[in-house]
Amino acid sequence: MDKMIFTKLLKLTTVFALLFSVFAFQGDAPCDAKALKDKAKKQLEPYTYDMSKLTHITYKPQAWLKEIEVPLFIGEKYRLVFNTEALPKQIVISIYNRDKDSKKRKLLFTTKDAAADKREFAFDIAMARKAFIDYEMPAGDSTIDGGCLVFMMGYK
Amino acid sequence: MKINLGMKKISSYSVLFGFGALLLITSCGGGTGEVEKKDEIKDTVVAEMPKASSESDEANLYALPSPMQIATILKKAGLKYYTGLTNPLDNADKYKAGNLVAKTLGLGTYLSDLSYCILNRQNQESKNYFKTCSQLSESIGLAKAFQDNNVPKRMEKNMTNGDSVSKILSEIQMESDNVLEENKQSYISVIAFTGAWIESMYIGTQVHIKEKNANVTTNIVEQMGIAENIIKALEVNKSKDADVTVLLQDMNALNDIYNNFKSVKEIKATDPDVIDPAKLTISVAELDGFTKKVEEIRNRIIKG
Repeated sequence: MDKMIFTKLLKLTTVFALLFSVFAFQGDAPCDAKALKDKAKKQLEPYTYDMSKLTHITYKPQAWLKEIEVPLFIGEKYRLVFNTEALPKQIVISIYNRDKDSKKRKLLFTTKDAAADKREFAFDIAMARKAFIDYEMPAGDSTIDGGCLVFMMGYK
Repeated sequence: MKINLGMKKISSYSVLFGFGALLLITSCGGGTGEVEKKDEIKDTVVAEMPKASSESDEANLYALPSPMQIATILKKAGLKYYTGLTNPLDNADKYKAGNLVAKTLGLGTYLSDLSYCILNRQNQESKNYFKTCSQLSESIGLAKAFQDNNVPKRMEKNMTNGDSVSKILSEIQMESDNVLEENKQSYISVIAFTGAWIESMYIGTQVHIKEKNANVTTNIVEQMGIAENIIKALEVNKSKDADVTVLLQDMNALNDIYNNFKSVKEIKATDPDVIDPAKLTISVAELDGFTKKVEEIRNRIIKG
């Protein structure tokens, strides 16, 4: 009898253990800003670090967009680096020469057709006065926990 | 055997209880995570915008470069070193005794001066400005950036090597960005950069008075593209401190002067998005008014 109770408890324990691991994995996607930035910094070489931005991303039932405006100097060469390893669901990163409201804007770079497992992106830009970085979050399950991505810029 | 089973039973109950407790902790932890996430969302909600409603939302986030890059660009344009243009070091005591905005603006001006000295190989001055920046950084929680990774010794050792010092400064910049982001205090970097930018503009315009270098003028005007981003970033953060509002008013006043330049108005009438500084013709009177405004703002900042 005791043995039966023990076996049942063991099974229950296993179930709880499994549930616990599920909960543990459903927690925040690991957003270790320093580790992400260290990786991005390596991609930035040989450019000199200028600035970086850690952006927290949430998923919503509808698609949404976040735009970062980056001022540049026309005679300078820049490298823009992105690391999306801490995002549970991939987003599209696009870079334009003008903001989202401009009819004259041109697409300079996009991750739209990148391989699904690619998480590090770099784009070199020169002879530009501004860059507009769009993070396009896909429509999705708003109960999925968000994550973060790092954008880093360097100049030569 | 019974005793053993009993022990196992107890042990299993303990494990069960343990997992229950862990689950509870996980749930509670989730709750805390929610609060943190809400905070984070609050930080970015202004910048969020469903694709369908692009007209009304304030959707941009604004990136700002490092003081070192500003100084590098002005140096490339031929900005020479003149003694007496930088913010006197003894003002640091006033900043240390002041509020957070005064300290941060003071640090910003000194970072700009440090970059100016380094790029012009003013070794002793660079040492002095680095030491003062390091001390001021402690008062706003950025000591880690200036003191970790053996930074003071590396600065001392490499002071005569411009490339190495620039590299160390970029590490300091990155570490400062990390610390401020971690502490959800990114607005401090906006304030510091505003101080640094005004100081760079002050040095640039003062050197122009002495040398009339056309390249420097073009670059000063080009910097107004950065001013627009500073204004937008200050606007987003103006509720953080009343002094940020004052700073915003100053920056808006400077931007108004620039926008009233005849050639700026003409170019903006055809394409408001992009101004090519090479196409601008700035009159002496226009530049003089601009220089005076920069000087007025800078002198107010350095008073602390």
